[in-house]
Amino acid sequence: MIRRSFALLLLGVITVLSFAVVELNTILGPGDLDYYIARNQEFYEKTGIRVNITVVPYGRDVVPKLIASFLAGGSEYDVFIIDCIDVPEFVENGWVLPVDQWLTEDLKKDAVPFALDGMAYKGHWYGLPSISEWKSFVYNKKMIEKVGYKEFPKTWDEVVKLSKKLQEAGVVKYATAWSWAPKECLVCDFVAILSSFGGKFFDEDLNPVFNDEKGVQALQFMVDMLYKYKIANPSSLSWTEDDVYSAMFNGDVAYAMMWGLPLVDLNNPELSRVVGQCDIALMPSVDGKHPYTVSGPMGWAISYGTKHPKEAWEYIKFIAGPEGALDAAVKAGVVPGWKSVFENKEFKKKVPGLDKMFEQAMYVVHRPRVPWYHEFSRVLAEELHKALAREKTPKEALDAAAEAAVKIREEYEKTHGKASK
Amino acid sequence: MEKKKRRLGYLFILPSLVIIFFVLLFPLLFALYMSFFDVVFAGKSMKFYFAGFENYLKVLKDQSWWQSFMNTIYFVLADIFIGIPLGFISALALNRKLPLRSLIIGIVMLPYILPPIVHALIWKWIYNADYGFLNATLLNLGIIKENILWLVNPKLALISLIIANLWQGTAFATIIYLGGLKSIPGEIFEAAQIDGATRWHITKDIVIPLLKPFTYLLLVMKTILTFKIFDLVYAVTGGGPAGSTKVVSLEIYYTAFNAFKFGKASAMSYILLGIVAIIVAFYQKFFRTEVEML
Amino acid sequence: MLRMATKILIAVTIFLIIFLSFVPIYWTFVTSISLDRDLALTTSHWFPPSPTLKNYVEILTSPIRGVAYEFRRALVNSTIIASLTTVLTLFLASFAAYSVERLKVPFRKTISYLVVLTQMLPPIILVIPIYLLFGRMGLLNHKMSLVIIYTALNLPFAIWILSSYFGRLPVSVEEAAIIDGCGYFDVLWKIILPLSKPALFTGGIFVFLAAWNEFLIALVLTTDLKAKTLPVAIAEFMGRFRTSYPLMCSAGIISMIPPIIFVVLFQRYLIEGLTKGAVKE
Repeated sequence: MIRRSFALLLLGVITVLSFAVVELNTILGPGDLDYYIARNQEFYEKTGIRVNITVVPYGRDVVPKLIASFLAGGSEYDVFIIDCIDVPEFVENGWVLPVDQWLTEDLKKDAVPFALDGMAYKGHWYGLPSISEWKSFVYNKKMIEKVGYKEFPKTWDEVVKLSKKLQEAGVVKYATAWSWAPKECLVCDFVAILSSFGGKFFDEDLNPVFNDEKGVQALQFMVDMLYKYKIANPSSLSWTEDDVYSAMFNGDVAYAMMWGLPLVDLNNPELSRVVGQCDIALMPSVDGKHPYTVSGPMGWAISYGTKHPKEAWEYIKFIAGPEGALDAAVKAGVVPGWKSVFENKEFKKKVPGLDKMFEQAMYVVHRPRVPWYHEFSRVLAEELHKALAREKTPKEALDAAAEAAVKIREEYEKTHGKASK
Repeated sequence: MEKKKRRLGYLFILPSLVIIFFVLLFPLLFALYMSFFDVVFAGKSMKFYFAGFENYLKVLKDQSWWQSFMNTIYFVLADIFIGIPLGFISALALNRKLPLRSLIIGIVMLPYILPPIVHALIWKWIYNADYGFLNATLLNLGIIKENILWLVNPKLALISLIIANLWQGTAFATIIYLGGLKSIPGEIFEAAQIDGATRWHITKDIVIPLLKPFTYLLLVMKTILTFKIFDLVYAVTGGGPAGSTKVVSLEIYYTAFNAFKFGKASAMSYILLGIVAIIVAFYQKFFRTEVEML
Repeated sequence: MLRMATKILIAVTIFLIIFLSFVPIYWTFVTSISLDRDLALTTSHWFPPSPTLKNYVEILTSPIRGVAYEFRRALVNSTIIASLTTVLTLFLASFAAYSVERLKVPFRKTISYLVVLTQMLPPIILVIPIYLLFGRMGLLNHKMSLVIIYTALNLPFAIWILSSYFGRLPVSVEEAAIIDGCGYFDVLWKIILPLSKPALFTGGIFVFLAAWNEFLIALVLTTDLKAKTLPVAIAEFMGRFRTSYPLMCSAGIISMIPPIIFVVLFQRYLIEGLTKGAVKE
């Protein structure tokens, strides 16, 4: 009798324990790592679920590991951060879990539109927006005041004039620098500048239109910034965003484009030497009427093969839902994707320039949400680079890229058309 | 006796073969298999759609592929025609009693020892246009007036990387030749000198022929290894500027992990293998060496 | 005996070799002890105006997720993995090389060719199948898995280096021993190998460094500190310090120290090989 009840008790304890011992695994790059570790600890205290982080070196190094884990069943990593440009591809490959069933109306209404769109594909949602950023246009106010400017110019022509004045007055060697290494960062910049010239990337039928005259103008302007006007640091051709940020932090350039909440870092004396000198302007454009910039929302997604979908969702909501986003925004400078966070008093207090940023958020352009985006982006980056290195004319480069885009799209549809049969 | 010898031969070589094929056979065959298909992912499974030689044809018709191939060939040529001779000269020079010999050899081996990412970092920093040592030194010496864009100018980037690779490759050749020189008994040198041969003569007619197996080994190894060059290019230029430093491994990497075209990436790998195999076979015919292995 | 001119030439050559090998590393070191804002001054004067060790202190004592701790664990892992791989590879390669070179195992040409062929595929294409294979067997994130994989990857060249060397050794001593009734195993172990110290050292260095520096397979197959190797850990640090060259250079210098120690230690065996070298008639 006693033995039986003991066995039952043991069974009961084991059952309870096995439910309690849920562990989630995630994979992250080294950015903001301490913040996530702290948050995971809070999550554990709240729910008893441990979240283990695998740290990978920065960048697309995550991808081979993720792919390998997906092909092996998808249960090695339960949740992970996904970039908006990855979503179509991952969804087509069947690697992410849709979260429609948990996405409430309230959440949908609170989301900043472009941020949630970044997580959507073909009518379903695949994650919660977490880093919902776009590239802001940042300038050093103190510097432009030195040459008699009170406001940052709205047209590119004016910007060129200002840049020349800055360089002639010896305020800076180069007025600006760009992240034009032949990688995704170059494509992002191109999309932003293209839109500021009134150009479009793809039309509704996914045909490339970026090689029309507006596109050529935009690319020509980029080339001119380097060689004709000489207002951009020629090393830009090998710089990624971090190098540009360094230049801005060091006061080496007068204006640049930055992701995230740039003023938070620019006012951090540990990182920046231009504390209190910078401000945000609307993106300049060819005629002052197209202040568009490029979007880059990222979010947390759930692997298709996770053994704990519900817990995974709980975690995502914790870390990227409205409260989590507020916490991340205040503590780690992560741009939130929820309107409620933008309206939060504490957030407004902590982040300078919020009103201007929010204004810019109304004018963002997405890169094309197609599953073959990565392959195309690489070709485009190389062609753009050829134009920027003056090996081809802008028209030649853009035409080549457009041709490649069509070829890539057709090849993709052919292969995957077979798949859906 | 012969039979015993043969059986022992099998026994001795068996463990090595087992390990090699256990680890590599599946991946090799799998990759070969994939190269004839279009591979589509659906969650856990991979769907294969027969494509015959289409992948191979697509690769061979791809201009980008040929550009990477040519760039890779430049790396290999430099490694062979500059790296090997330099390594030989270095080994000759170092093959004597020297003060602090251990330290010197240690230093000479440093380039080869470095983890690839550190190697890439060092050269990225040296070639940095605004702050790097190369430009700073050249400016100081008055050799140049303006910073040279080593890694940004498409005409210079490839050469810059080739030099960085040579820095490491020469050290490897030096090590191999040092080992080879040790295999030449001292008596041979003495006998030749007694015979009145000059140093140049000794080197030309005795040392070089005796080191033929090592030269051959270096030739083949460097060809095979340099054709696969990846880490340096990926970390320093990513294939830019304007595609001027694209190498074959990089193409394969992007095709597999960016475009998710595993079939095409496998075809690329096997085309690479085919080309390297042909080159190595050519070496074999040309050298007709007495070394049994190959 | 040696003309003055030749002596000078040799000295200059040696100096150049040392200089060119060392200078890039010197630059890295000097950068690592500079302050970020002094970088321009450092590079133009070959020494920082205000040298500081703060970067090293930061890396080695920083509590950020125990960077120092991770580094130490990864270091231990790499040492174990690389050492085991080297020993295993050299052991197996000795037998294989002997069988090819002296025992004249049949089909040796085909075997050699196939074996070297495996080297010609870029590791990228092997990564996913290897991951799937080892994953199915539940052998992910194990040090031994990496040892086996690295052994397989390095055996071909190790066999080749050793057989090149074996081929150069005169057969006379072996033949004498065999006539005396010595088994092939003993011949290999007691005669050939002691004479092959230079080749063993060369091959050993090659294998050790190949295993030590391998990145892609280690990246994909390891998840945590149970098996994470140094290159992966270093790449992580690089990722974290991307905004500061001095910090990155410090991490780089620290990561160079273990291989340097290894080489300095084992270099003596090469010197020994020099003195014990040739066949005594």
